Amino acid sequence: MAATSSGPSAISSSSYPTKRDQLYDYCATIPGALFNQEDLENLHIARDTKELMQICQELVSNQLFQLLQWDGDVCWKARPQDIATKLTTLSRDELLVYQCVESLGTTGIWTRAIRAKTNLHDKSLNKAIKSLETSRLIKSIRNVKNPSRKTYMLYHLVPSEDIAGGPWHDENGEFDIDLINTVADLIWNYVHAKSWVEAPRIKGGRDMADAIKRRKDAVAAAAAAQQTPPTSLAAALELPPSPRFKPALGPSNRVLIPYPPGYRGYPNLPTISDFVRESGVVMVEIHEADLKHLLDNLVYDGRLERMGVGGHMYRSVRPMEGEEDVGPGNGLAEAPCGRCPVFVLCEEGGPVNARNCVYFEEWLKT
Amino acid sequence: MAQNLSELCTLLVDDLYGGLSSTVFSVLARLGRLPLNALKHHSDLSAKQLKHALVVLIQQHLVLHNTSEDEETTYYEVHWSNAYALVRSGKIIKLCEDRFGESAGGIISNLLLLGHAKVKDLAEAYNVAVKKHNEIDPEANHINGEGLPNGVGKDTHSNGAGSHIRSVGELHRILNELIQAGYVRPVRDIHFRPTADITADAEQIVKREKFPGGIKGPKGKADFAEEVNNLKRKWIEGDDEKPVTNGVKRRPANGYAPQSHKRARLNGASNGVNGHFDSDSDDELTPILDQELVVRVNYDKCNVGLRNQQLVTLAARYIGETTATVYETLLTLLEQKIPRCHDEYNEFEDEEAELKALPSITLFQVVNALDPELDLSAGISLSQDVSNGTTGDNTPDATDLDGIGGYTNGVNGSASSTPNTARDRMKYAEQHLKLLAEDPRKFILRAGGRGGGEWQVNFRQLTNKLVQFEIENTIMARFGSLAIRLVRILCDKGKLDEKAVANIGLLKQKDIRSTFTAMQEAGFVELQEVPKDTARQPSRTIFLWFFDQDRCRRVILAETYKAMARLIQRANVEKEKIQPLLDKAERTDVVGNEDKYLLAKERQILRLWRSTEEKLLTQLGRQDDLVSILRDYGVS
Repeated sequence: MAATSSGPSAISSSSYPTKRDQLYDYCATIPGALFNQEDLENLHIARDTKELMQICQELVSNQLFQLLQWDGDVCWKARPQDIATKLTTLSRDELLVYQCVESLGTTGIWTRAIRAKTNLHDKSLNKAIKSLETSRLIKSIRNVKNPSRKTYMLYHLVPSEDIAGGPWHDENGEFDIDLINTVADLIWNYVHAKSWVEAPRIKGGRDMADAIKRRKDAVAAAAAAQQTPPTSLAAALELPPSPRFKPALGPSNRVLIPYPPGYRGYPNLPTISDFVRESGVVMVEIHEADLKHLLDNLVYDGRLERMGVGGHMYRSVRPMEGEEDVGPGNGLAEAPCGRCPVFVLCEEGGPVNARNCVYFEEWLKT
Repeated sequence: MAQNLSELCTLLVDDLYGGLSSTVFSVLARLGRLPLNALKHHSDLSAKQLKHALVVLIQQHLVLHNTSEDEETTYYEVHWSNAYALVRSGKIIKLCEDRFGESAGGIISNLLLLGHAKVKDLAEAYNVAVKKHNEIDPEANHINGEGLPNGVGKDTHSNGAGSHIRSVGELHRILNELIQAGYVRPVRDIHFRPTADITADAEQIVKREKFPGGIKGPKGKADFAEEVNNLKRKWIEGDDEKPVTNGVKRRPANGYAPQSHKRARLNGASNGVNGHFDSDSDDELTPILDQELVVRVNYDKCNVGLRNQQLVTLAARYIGETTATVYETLLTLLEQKIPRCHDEYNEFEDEEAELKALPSITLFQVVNALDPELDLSAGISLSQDVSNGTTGDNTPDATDLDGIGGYTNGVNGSASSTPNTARDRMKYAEQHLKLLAEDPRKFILRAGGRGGGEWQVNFRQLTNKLVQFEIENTIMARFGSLAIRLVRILCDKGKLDEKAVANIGLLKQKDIRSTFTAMQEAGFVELQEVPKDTARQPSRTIFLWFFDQDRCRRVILAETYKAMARLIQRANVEKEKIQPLLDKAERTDVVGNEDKYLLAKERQILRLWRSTEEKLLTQLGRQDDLVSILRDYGVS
């Protein structure tokens, strides 16, 4: 029977095992690849279709091949040898569950979906899952979209991003707050450094900080000398009027001023993305969509603001001294009433009122 | 809210006009519109006392009255906004002082004290003041002495010296200037009537004259509403009085420009000669006002001025002081074209129509009006400046890479251009304006290219931002920065369930729950239930968080009214504590001889009390700022 055909397949045609190994070895060289009947026939390992079918059947029953359907055609996929060995020892139920989990790949499968597909009883299903887990064939993963659903996946696979979440999730599928805050601070510092220019030195070498200090000294001196209101004395000394805000100063202790209008050098998504990648803080790849998500939150926090047409550039919101944690505040927020826990009860003649208020007492003392 | 407001207003009236007035006011505030009989019944006062109090209250425009034609009874009701405005007096005086000089501040202060006054009477009062110096002072101080209306008690003290008007001509000139600017307006009978009655009358007349066949269909309704509005406007503002256009027409005739206020202020009262010269030359141009004209302060216009101040502060916070000054100039120019923050008689169909109707100001106008002393090159990076000489290698990218490059250029730029030339000034001013337009808050909008570039201000949008800004400030101070992120997410995305908020905000669900609950308790966020089936079980229900700006605004407003009342009450308590000592200090023999008659310890106590009161009043003023933003700047 060997005489009719030629080539290497003809030589080894006498023994099934070798043909089987040949076919498996070839398919296993490309992990995850699918082969249909035509592909395998073109290898000319089997003599004819019938023999090929026979070989494939044997491989499938040895768990070395996974039988799949693609576009209505039957096709096969090679499994790693060690897993195949483990699989041969499994019970029928376990095998059924394993195939179910395997079919979903890196997306994982919900336990209820397994039950629906396998039609197994709850008890036997749980037993099968448990034994598969202990023999390290499947593992439980956390689905970010549905954290309450018990989801399983093959042990050696890494969950895909839409299941495990992006770079901001830790291994448990929860947000890694520390990482997020670190990267956020990093980005803010980067953007801030590129958002404002330090004001030139004031004529005569008088620095803003210097001026403020002198002003403070003068006021202190005035207060020490006598009880005249400090404002009038400051005016008498011809100091500049006290500014409404105390902007945070730049590295050289001078006020930060804006770039001229039309400036296009504010950082945008690609430049920030490059910066984060180069900084090496995050080990995994950060997609621009993930970064945009973080930037959006910096905008929500009032730390960055969008600039330019369509808001594609980012600028830091001009920081003010003393606003870091409490915000700019207003008349209500700063008064004792604005934070009073018993404000609702407070009324003239009531148990709490302006006369006996302890918070006022405290506030007026400071 | 009404309860808090009425408590506050009663306190204000009590403080300024005494117990009798406040008793009557409080009855009207609590019970609403009442005739004299009912008022008598509820207040336990005699008719004589009641009438006495009502005269004062009506004179101050704190109570309105209406006598309908068919029945003889007169009904009284309180004028809420005017009663509240008492707390704002100090700010209004300061504003007018800054704009129109100290004398104008004095006039405003007197008008606020008097409610309304005839020009003749004002003139008489001032003539007396010139002769008998001492008699006007206690009166002028009365408003200061009481302290409450003036958040900045000390500043107004200088009024005494600055508010003297030297001649009738000068009085008329300043008064006319104030009327032209809209800060002072002639009083009409209708101003003493409640709005509801005016509307009812207007509707009746329009119905009788224009719609004898009845109002039909939606179009008829709309026409009717417009007619009523027109009639009301005619009644309230008058046909002959058009302060806006008058002001503009007059200006080119005598070369009057806004910076003349500044000059007046800079020179101050010390430069008497100059002042006289001004007033003399103006006397010929200014028509002498009708002696019988009754005038009062126009709170609507004052709110426009105060709103501008808030916007300037916002610009100073987010861009810088120099740019804010340019902005202030632009807003002051615009002010002449804006009679009130929110024009209820002039609703626009849509946003586009409103934008079209916004007045605009050109770059030339701004540059002309800018204080010539102001160094415009400050507060903006000049890295692209032509006068720099090094522009060639100075593309934005270069400075972007090298922050220090930008900085050194800045030095060159400012050094070479310290005395800003006219051309430079124009260029710098334009840069500042563009900066304002480029800011994400959209301080100004470009409207066209005429006159070096026309600019508009979308007040409605900005007011909205101011409101949102204050709400967020309050939330931030109370619930921390996490709450701000949550609120902004809800603002941006609408109604969301907890999980979606957590995902968008990169937060853990359990971390945000407590913040949400706390905010819900305080009334800042709300929860919407969406049941999945008719059973409405909690387990089968979706809960969506949402943020309602208007609701928040009302919550904070009500709380602020209450907090303001507490501040005033506390100030009264503090004063009460040392009343005997205060009595002693105010004795005529002690005043002026404090060192002699008061012990060191007593002086110490007085000083302490003064600083305490100042602290309370400063806070009161700041809360008033909040109220004006949340209520008065035209959020409908």
